[in-house]
Amino acid sequence: MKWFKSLMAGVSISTLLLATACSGGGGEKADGDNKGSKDKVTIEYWHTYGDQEEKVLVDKIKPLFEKEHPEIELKLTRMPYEGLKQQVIAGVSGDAAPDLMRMDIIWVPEFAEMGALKEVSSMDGFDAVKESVFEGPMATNVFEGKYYGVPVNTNTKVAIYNKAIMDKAGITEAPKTMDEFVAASQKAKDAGAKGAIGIGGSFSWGFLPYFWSLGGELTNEDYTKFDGYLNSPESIKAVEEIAKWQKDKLAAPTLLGGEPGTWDGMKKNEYFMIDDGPWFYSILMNEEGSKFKPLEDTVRGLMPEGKGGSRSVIGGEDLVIFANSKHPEEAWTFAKWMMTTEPQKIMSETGLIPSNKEAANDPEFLKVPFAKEYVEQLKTAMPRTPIPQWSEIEAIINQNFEKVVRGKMSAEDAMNDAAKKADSLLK
Amino acid sequence: MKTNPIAKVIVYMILILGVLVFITPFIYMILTTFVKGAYSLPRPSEVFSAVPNLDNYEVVWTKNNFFRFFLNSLLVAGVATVGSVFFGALTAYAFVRFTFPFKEFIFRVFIFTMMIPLVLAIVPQFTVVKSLGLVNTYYGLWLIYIGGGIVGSTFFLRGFFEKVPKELVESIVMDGGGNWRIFWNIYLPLSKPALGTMAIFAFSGTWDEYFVALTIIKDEMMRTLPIALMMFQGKYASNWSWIFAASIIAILPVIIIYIIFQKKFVQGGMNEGSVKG
Repeated sequence: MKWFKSLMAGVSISTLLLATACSGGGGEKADGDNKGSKDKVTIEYWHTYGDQEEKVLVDKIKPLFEKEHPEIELKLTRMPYEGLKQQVIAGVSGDAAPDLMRMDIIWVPEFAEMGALKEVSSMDGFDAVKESVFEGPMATNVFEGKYYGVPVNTNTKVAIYNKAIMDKAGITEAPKTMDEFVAASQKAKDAGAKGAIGIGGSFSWGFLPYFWSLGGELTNEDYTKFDGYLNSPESIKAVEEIAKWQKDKLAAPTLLGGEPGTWDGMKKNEYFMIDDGPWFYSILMNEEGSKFKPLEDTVRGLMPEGKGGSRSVIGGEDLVIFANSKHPEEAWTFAKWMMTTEPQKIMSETGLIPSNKEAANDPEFLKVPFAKEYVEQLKTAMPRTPIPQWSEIEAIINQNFEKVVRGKMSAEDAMNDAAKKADSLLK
Repeated sequence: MKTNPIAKVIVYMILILGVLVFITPFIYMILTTFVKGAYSLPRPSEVFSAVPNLDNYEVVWTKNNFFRFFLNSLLVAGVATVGSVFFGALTAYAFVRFTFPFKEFIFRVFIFTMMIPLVLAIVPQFTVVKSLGLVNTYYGLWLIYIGGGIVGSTFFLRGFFEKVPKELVESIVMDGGGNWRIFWNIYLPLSKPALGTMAIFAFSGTWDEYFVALTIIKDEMMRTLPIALMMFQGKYASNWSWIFAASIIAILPVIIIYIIFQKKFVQGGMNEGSVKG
């Protein structure tokens, strides 16, 4: 059987090589065949909007864009999330990627490194776009000093408190500082809450807001070093504090993947606090026949302020143009247009937070009952490390973090180990 | 033969327990489809107090072009099933009846391809389909489905074909029949149980297939059912009662195929008694 094993290994490796080689090479050509023809150009746009958002996109955005740019037709394809990354890789390496895509902000550096994306910082009118949007979301498009996309919408998470439990525990307003927050959680726990601090899980999107607010940090400022930051005394202390919440049973079972989930616990008045994005409101407000009224039954607050300030994590999507797009000019025209105030305002009707500053501060948008706290939180929210290796490094940090929470590893060992492994991946 | 009644009771109890274990998740799933707006999985108390209704099914059926995708899937899986079973039978026949150079080596290569994980093969496969100009066509999809399916059915049917008695074949040869007649009138009818089993595998395999379908098919209206199912899953929250209702609809054809073919499910004895000892 030995020959068989080595044969198999050989084939797998060559397949992998082929995959990377293909995806690396598709970068050079572009331009060319879109010049001189006056015919209508069709640009293909892969998006991942939800049901309500897709409706707005099809009924309002598409007609408006095509009216203003009659020479361009926008072809929309909605992609499911499952296996989406592999779909993009297959599309890029097979020269069958669309012109544009709306992708999660953390994917952009990774695909940029592969050579799959077109650099947009040199495109006409880029600086004006950059001026008009929030800095944090814009920063998620950087790879090696250049920009590979524009932030089409942004989001973050705020603290959401359960009104019924607050009343029961005699808490009148959302805690502002970390100390108040922990004290309030203890009160809520004593008043019978099944879980007080509803951290979504032991993954970075879930725990980073607490880690950062408690004073923890991931890297140095230009994202080149984890050692000395991820395992700094402050970071270790932050992880220890979260582990202590788990030990004191302040943390809800969700931290280790237990039931009920954050939404369920909030809806059933079992959890004192959870953190989540604007979709918590936009989805649950649209739910027919539900007894739970998200606006009346919860109180929103910024993340409690600790040593690191009131920090939350930036999420959202960037609009990117693929390197092998046949119509990069037209694709950029659309991307640029999508970042202007009008379309940004239209998309914000669905509860998506505009990344365009003017649209986000538009009184019309701020009338969305839950918008204010999110826009406020965005001012101090931070992006996850925008580097191509982030998904690998994240997996290491998550795993070690979980070990600490489970009491299987000391915070110091875990963070030292993670920092070492992370730095070796950066090289 | 006498059976001990106590032993019988025990056997039945174990069987009933087994049935419960296997069927409970399925029943739970059906009951979940009666709950409204389950963005987190509903708890037992909610599920068991749900009043049966078809509201979620109605929503799902009219949403996201579900019906269109259902028909697409029927076409894709139907052709792929017939193709992979028929060509697989032909290939298996060749492996059993003919001698040719590198026969065993080729067969090993066949088996080997079954062990490559799909995700690893997707990029090369896509590149091939692309260079044939078959992206965004069902032909491209069938090429991969049938090509992949042949391997499994050849492997499976070869074993079956080898058990067909030589004497039966000789009787045809004596009457002047060729290979086609032997294949069509002896091998195929005698292997009905195996063919039926293979058809079930091939159908449920392609009916459920998500990844290749999404890669090859670019046009939204040509997508298949599993893709439509995935569309119900959101990035941040999913309505589980919709997902489950859609899954139940999606699973129906597979259940029907099982019911049709289950009598033919691998049963021996088709050729017993055809040859005098």
